[in-house]
Amino acid sequence: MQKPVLLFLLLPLMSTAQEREHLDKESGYFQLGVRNTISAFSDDNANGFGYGGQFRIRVLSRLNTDWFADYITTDISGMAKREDLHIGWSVLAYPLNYETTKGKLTPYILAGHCFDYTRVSLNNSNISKDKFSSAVQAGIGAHYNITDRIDVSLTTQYMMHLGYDVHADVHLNYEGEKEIEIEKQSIRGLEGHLLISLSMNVRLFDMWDQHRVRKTS
Amino acid sequence: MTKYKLIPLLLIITLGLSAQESSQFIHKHLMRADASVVAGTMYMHNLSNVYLNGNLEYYLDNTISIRGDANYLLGSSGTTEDLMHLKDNISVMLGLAYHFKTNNHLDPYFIFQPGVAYVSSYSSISLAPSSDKDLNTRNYKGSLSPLSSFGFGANYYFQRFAHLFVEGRYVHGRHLSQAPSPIFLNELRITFGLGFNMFVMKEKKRPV
Repeated sequence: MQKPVLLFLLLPLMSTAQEREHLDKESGYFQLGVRNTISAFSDDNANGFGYGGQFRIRVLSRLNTDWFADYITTDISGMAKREDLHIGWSVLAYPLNYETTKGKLTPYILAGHCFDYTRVSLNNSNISKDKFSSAVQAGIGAHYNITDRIDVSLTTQYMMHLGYDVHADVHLNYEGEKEIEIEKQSIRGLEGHLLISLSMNVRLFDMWDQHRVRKTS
Repeated sequence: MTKYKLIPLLLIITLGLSAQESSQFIHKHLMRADASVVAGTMYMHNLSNVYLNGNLEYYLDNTISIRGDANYLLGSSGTTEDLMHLKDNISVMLGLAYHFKTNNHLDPYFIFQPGVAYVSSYSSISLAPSSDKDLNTRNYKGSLSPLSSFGFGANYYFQRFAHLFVEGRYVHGRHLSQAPSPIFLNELRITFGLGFNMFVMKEKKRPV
């Protein structure tokens, strides 16, 4: 009579052990990737295009970290140029499928922080204004696993800059001609933009070599 | 006359034999490099360009490789609608290639490479169209432009140390400078030539 009760009590422990076995398959990997980014809905009402790269360190099977750098340029009505430099990190959580399997999607949510530099400069002149600030970002995305080692990731995130906003304001003058003015806010504010990134990443090595250790033990 | 016809035939036979003799060259730790001339057309502006390209590629396994490219503009012809010309276009790209598996020495692949280009331009205003001397030019400072590129290509490893290649790709970008209007760097590029391969590490033999 006591035996079935004991077995029943052991069942949850067995499933935890199985899950841990599973966890070790995914965590610990170092990934390296390159990406292109589209910046939209900024205060300048213009879309930007950028390139960058990232590396990822997967700390748990359901948790990844992404360390990135981007350089984005934006044309503002053919009258000015905006340049954005981002260096930051994000935490990626996999609420649904988290296994890296060829041909499967791995959706994720992400949130993080970055440091940034922005410069807006007028064409045909040496006038420019810039700022250093930090930002927070959050969004969603998915990896598509081309093979067990390589994935293509699409991420959409909103980045909110915390600091003195710099942007170009295009307006029409009394004669109906376009005029542009660069403004730098004197008080700290919130200004953001939507970033859509397409990246290709490769799994390079197991950082803490636990897979080999587990295999040999 | 027949002697000249025989030489290419003999070359093809030799290549064919060397390809049959060895096993597949496409595998992990293969490193390849090439230098070639690239023809490009910026179809949005009717600009035709010629580049010198050099690249280095390392195979992480049989299907994945990391590849870096450098391109230097040798010459450009044509002007944009705003009479703008390209002066410099130097780009570096880093990305990944996915190689489709085959049972022979052909190595078709898809490549994705973001990058950055240093581009500078100048405008020409013709004061007297009949004479080139009367062109009034204005140079604009160069700037960095983010790029994205992807394309398809194929290598043919006919020999242990060399291979033939052909590649076509699309490059996307926009050059923003102090010039009155941006120059779209969207371009179709094609190249082919001879590349070199070396095996930097021997693959470990699997236990039977």
